[in-house]
Amino acid sequence: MNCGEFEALVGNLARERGPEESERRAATAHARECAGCSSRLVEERELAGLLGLFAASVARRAAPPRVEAALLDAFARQHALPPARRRSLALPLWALVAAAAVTLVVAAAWLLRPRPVLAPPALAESPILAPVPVPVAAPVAQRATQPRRRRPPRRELPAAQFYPLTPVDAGAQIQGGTIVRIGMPRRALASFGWPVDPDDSGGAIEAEVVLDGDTGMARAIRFVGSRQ
Amino acid sequence: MNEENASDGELLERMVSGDRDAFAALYRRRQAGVYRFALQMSGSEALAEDVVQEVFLALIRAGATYDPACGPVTAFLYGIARNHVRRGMGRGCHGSADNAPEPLAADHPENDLARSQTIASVRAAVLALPVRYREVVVLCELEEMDCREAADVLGCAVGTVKSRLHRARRMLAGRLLPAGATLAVARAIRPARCVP
Repeated sequence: MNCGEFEALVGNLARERGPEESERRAATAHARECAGCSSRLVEERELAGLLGLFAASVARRAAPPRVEAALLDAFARQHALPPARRRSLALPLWALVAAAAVTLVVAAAWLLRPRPVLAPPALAESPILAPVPVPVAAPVAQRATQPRRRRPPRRELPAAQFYPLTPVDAGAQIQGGTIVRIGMPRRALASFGWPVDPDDSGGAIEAEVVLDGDTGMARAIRFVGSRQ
Repeated sequence: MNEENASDGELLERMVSGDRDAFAALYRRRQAGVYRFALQMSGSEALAEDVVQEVFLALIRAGATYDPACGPVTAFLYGIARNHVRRGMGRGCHGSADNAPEPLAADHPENDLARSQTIASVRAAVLALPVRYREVVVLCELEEMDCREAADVLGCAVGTVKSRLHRARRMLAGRLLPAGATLAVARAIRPARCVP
């Protein structure tokens, strides 16, 4: 046995636990021949003695009886609960799932909320125009007596222009507010003075409405296109 | 049913199903070890008492989650205790040195003072060890667990326990043995548990 092997065994050798008899004999023989390892064995035995003295000083220490009494009370209370209550204490999974669902809904509502427009460049670049007077579409009764004719192409919507919904000064521009996108029936264009083909009044269109930042009133509208 | 002959696992199983006697038996069997572990780790009786209470409250509430495949019941209990001790020491509940040794029999009154001083110096040396070394000293040297049991408690490899224990012993020897008085006392006083 060399000194390295002895060092690996010396702790258990000093405490008389661990090494097998053959290892013990070999280690003891090495300690007789090696002064350094012999002093290591003495040192380990002295350390084991000190630690044993300390362990003995607290060997009979234990928690005071009041701890046991409190715990037995707690045990009785726990097992006096109805089964459903015990389940809820032991497995609050439903609460976690509910909390996660609420969190997701709140996060989605926050992400999808209407964003305020502090200085929308689109508004600055497209001044609000006065309504364009347009003729009213032909009545349906007249069309019924006429031969079928080819449907004229839809008139393109002036997507870049906002139309005022409230009286505005000439040349004034909207400098702030909130833009919200809405869907509306195509036939509602007539109420804004826009021509509507009675054959093509179905379907829906999309529009953007400017809401006043202070009052929330709709101030202008522009038509974005047909809704799919 | 006889609680004394039942294993820890059997007692825990019965306890989970509401057997109060099984819980009491398991508590009486294991509370002292948990208390001493917390006391020797922290040096605080108050913290040790709190730790015992928290460990067995956790057993009452979550004993059903114990998995025998993960280790013996003692490892489960000491593992909970270890977490509470670390938390308590983190809050500054340690180091009050209120774990004075219990009075010894006055058969050798001339040795009492020297013995008390030696015990105090060993306690101070153990408490001065870094926590990861203190844990293996308390478990292996003071609670006399083998390295496998200590590894289960600490959640590490047996080799890690052995290397930490070796290092901790060298640190303790460096603190305790150069003092000539301590060495003399150690030679003069035989440890109480070694007395036949």
